[in-house]
Amino acid sequence: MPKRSVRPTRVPLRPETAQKILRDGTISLFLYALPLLLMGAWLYITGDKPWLRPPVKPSIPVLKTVFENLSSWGLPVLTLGVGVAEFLLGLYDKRWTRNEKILDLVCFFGSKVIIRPTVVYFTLWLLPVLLPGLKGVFAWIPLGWGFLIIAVADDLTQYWYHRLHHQVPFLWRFHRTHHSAPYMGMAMASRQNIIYTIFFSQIYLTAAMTYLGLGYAALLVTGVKSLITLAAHSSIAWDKPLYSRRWLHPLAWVLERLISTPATHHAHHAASNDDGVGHYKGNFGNMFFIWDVLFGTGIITRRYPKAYGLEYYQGEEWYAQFLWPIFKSRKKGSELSAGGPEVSDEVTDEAPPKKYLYDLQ
Amino acid sequence: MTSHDIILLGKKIIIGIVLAVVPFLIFFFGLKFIQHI
Repeated sequence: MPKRSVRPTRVPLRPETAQKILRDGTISLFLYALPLLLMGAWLYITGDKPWLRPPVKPSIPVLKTVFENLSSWGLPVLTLGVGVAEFLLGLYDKRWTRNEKILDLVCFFGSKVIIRPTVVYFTLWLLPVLLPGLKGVFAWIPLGWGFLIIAVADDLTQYWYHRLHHQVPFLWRFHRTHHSAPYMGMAMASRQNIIYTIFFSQIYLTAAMTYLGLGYAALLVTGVKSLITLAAHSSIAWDKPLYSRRWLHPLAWVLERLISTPATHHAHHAASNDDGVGHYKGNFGNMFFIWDVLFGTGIITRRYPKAYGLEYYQGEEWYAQFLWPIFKSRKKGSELSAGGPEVSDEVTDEAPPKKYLYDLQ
Repeated sequence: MTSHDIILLGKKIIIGIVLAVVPFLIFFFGLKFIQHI
């Protein structure tokens, strides 16, 4: 039997935020359809009907090996390798306390132990029941088009999943754990509350598309996306040289609008918006940053915040951060405590400036 | 867990399902439509 309800201090969804969500959500329906429209136009112009031919498995043995391994042992090994390098370089400083270490490690291994079997179960057992007779029906889609379709499907869905957890007050506490780390790095890249991780919408969407025959494209997208998001979370700022060398500025201009970079994603993890760099109520993109550019939720400054995490962080117990709302924090007034506020921070989704900040310098 | 937490969880799961199902339907029917052009 559930215990008697202790209602937390509720924060209503602001009407202007709801309006923006509705507007951008409607635009997203078109964005989801865009790769299909492009592929349909291409096939119509060329007169090609690939579904009439027997499906051809793409012959990319090298890529296949790389990305298959990236999805199994490759990525965890890469994450650990970069994490060790960050640790040796002293990039965590003294902020990686015992509580933070346990939380980061539990989240890292927990996601591997819980998420993978859940997705495998969903793909192998549940999908044939939910979608009988549809296995491999879209295996005819050429790899390039499949890549574009999965990239948009997966990343735009994750953008929305992420954005809603920041903008809808009752969802924030499921995502708070990812933002409580007072540092950036590999150690916190998979730091998430268990409920947030289990209900990641995009992994089920991608699993369903794999079942329909887009497995190779899904494998490629997963590999590329993992590399980009891990690099964006790393405390090793790979993008810095792009801003300091003038001849690289055109490349930087394109890259920072297309994909998440350490500068834009670190701004999302900033402790404060006051320095003109931090933008923790925006920059929601994971693999692609273009969604933030299109919806006006992004800021590009080419600078890095001075401090990370939450200004009101109380160092809540690792089990409360990992397992909230199953376990609550004992810290008085914490968002994760029984009856705690839904959102401690008064700042909501303030509109970013019309121009990107570095353009004004 | 309180009853309020369970309601919260239910609302979160519904949002998650909508986020996965809507694009899936766009892709599924869009691709089926392309096959019939």
